[in-house]
Amino acid sequence: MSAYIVSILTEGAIFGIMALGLNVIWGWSGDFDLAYYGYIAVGAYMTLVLTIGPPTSPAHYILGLQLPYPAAVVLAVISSMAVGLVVGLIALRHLRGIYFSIVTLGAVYVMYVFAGQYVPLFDGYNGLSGLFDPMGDWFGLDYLSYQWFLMGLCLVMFGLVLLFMWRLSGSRFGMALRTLREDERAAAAFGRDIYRLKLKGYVLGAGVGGFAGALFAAYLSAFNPSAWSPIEIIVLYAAVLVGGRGNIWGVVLGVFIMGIVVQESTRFLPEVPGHPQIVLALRGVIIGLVLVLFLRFRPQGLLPERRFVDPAPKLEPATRTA
Amino acid sequence: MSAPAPTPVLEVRGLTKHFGGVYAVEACSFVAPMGQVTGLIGPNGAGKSTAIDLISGFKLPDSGTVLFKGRALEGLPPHVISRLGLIRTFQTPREWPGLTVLENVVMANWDGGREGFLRGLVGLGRAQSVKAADELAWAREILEEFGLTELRNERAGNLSGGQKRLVEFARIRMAQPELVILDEPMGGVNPVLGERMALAIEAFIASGTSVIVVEHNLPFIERVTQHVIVMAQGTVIAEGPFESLRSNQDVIDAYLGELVKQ
Amino acid sequence: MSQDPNLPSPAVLEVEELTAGYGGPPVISGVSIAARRGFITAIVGPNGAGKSTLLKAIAGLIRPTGGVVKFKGADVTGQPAEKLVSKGLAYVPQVANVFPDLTIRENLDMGGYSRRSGVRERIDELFKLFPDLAASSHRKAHTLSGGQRTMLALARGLMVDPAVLILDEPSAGLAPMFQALIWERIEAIRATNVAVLVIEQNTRETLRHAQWAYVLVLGQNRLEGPGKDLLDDEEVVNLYVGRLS
Repeated sequence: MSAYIVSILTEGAIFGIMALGLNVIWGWSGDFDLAYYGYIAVGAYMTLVLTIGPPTSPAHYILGLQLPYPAAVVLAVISSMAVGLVVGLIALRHLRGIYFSIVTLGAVYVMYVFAGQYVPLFDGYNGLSGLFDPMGDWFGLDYLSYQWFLMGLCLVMFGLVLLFMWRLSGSRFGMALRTLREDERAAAAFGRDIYRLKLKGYVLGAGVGGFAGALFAAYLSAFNPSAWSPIEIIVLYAAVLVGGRGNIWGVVLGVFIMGIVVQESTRFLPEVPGHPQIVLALRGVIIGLVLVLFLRFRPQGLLPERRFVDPAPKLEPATRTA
Repeated sequence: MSAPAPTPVLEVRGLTKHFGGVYAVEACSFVAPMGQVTGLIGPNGAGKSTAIDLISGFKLPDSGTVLFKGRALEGLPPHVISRLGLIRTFQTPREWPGLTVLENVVMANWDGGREGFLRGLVGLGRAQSVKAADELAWAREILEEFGLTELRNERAGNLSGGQKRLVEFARIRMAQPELVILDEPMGGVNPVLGERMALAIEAFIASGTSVIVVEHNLPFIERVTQHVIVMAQGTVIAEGPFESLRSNQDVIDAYLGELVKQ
Repeated sequence: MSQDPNLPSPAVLEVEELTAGYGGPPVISGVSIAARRGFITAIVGPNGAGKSTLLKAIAGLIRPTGGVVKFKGADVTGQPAEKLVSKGLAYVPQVANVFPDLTIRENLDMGGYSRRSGVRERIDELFKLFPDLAASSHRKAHTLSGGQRTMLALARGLMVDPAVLILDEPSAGLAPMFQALIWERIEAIRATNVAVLVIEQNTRETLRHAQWAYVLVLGQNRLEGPGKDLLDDEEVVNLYVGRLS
C-alpha cells in the first residue's frame, strides 16, 4: 500500500471522527454551530503542549509538559469540553437559529485570534511542533512502520467513536435530542429540560471534536493557526449534509465522498502556469457548488436519518362469517 | 358535618402579566375542578393564551399564584411543570415532524431514568428493557384507539392538520398527565372531527386526566364542558355552565362589543 | 349580494362566490359581498369566520381557489397586491402597517410610491384630514402612540387615492377610548367618496357605523343588511353565542 493511501486513510479516519461529533450538535440537536473547529483546535493545541516538553527560546507556550500521549489526549479532550461548556452556556441559553450561529462564529474567531496573537499561549502564528511518532517508541517502530501504526490507531479510534455514536443514536438520549431539533417547545411541554439537554449534546460534540484534534496533532506532528482557518468548518458541514444529516452511516458516506471530492477533483483540473493557487481556489468552488446543489435538491442527504419502522402485527386468523 | 370540598386540580389567583404598558392578563382568578372538563372562552385578545403560557411556565407572571393540586407553580420552568403532571398543547399542532407517529407517541413519555447520556451508551437494564417494551405495546394500543395504526410509520410532518391534532391527543394519552390544557384544539380542523375529539376528551376524563379547553368553537364547548370560564380584557368576567352564560349580558357584551359613548 | 333598491351606481368592488384558504381545507367558501363608494361596508362574525382571510383574498395577499373579484367592473381575481394598489385598491393590515424607522412624512412618501405624480399635494391633502399627523410629520413612526400609528397607517393607505380602502381591524391593540377616534376618521374618509371595507373586533360599534354589513359564519355568508338593522337583530346575538339555528 503506498504512502499516499496510508495518509488518505489516516486523514479520512480523523475527518470522520470530526464529522461524527458535528453530527451530534447539528444532526441530532439541530444547532448550526460554527465554533466546532475551535474545539478541534483546542484538542490539538492541548495535546501538543502536554507532550512536546518545555519551550526552547524563542518559542513561548503554556505548560510544556512531557506526558505520555494517551494521558495528553485525555486532558486535551477535557479541555475542549470545558471550552465547549463555556460557549454553550452562553449561546444555548436563549439563542436559536441564525443568532446562535453568529454567536458561535464570534466565539471561534475570538479563539482563533487569541491563539494567533497572544504569543505566550501557543506561540502565536508560529504554532507548536515536535510531536514525533507518539507511542512509536513503545513498539520500537521506525518512521515508515509508524505511518501504518498511526493509520491503524486512527481507524480503530474511528471505529470506537462510530460504535459510541451508534449506541447513542438508537438510545432514548439520542431520541430526546431529536425532539429538541424537531420542536423544542413541544419537547419542554413533555418534560424535557431544553437547556440542559442541548448543553449535554454540545459538550459531547465538543469533546469528540477535541479527540479528533488530538489525533490530528499526532498526524501533523504540529499545529498552528494556518491549520485551522474557521472556514474549514464548511467542508465538515458539507460532509454531514451530503452524506445524511442525523444518520451516522450517512456521515461516514459523506466523509468518504467529500474526501474524494476534495482530493481527487483537483487531480483532473488543468494546471494554469503562473497560477499555482488556482487549484486550491477551484477546490473551494467545487465544495461550495456541491453544498448549494444538495441544499436545494436533497437537503436530507444521500442516506436520510433512519426512523424506527414498526413491523406489521401478526394477522389474527379471520373469523368466519356465515 | 359535610365532607370538605375536594382540592381543585387548578386554582389561579390574581394572575397578572403586562407587556409594555398593555395588561394582557390582569387579576385573573378561577378554579378548575378535578375530574371535569372546564372550558375557557372569550373574544380575541381576552388573554386566554397568555394565561395558559403563565400557568404552564412558558411565561413568567408579574404577580399572582397558580396552584396545581394545591402546589404553587409560579416561577417553575415548563419542563418541571410538565413532569409534575400538567401538560399543555399549543394553538398550532406541535408534533415532532421528522419522527414517525409511533415515535411521537413513545417520546411523549418522559422517563428520566432511561434518557440519560450514560444510559444511552451502556444500554438499558433488564427492568428498564421490560418497561420500554411495555411502553411500545401501550403506544400501539393508543394509536389503535385513535385510529392512527395505519399511519404509525408515517412522518408526523406529512399528516393533515386534523391528523396531527389526533397525534397530539395520543401523546397526551401516553403521558397521562393529571391535567391537560388544550389550546384551541379545533383550530384549523375540519368540523367533522369534532365528535372524535369530544370522545377523546371524555376518554381523558375516564382515565383520570382533568381537562381545560380553550376554544372559539362554542358548540364544541357546549358539547364537552361541564363548567365554563369567560375571559375578556385580561380578566374573568363570568363563569358557570355554558347554557347559563349564553344569556349572561356581560358575556354577550364581551363577544359583541360595547357601544362607545359618542 | 346586496340588492338594496335605494342604492345608486354599481358597486366599485364586487366579490362573487369567493373560496380561499392557506393550503388545507378552505377557510372561506362561496362568499359574496359588494362595496360601494361613499359607503362603509362591514364584515362581522364570530371568531374563525374567515373575515381576515376574506380581506386578504380580495386584496391580493392570498390567492383565491375559486370565485371572482371585480374591481371597477374589471376581473382582478388572483392579481397580486402590488398590482391592485396601483389600480386603486388599498389594504391596511392589522400589524406591521408602518415603517418604524421612517418619519411620518417618509412613510407617506413610501405609501405614494406607485403614484406617478402629485405625491406632495396628496400628502398636504391628507395632513388636512389628519391634523395630528401634520403636527408631528418629522417624527419617526416608532415614537408614535398606538393610535397615531393607526392614523398613519390609514393615511398611508390613502396616498394612492384609492377607490377602495380595506381595513383589517384598525383599532386592534388600542385602548377602547381610541375606537371613537378611529371611527371618526373612517367616517371622514368615507365622506371623500372612498369605499371603505372594514372588519373590527367590536361588532356592535361596527354595525352602528356601517351602511351595509355582512355576517360571516364558518366561512360562509349568513346574514346581510343595513348595519343599524343588524344591530337590533336577535339572530346576530345567537350566532355569536353559539345557539345553532
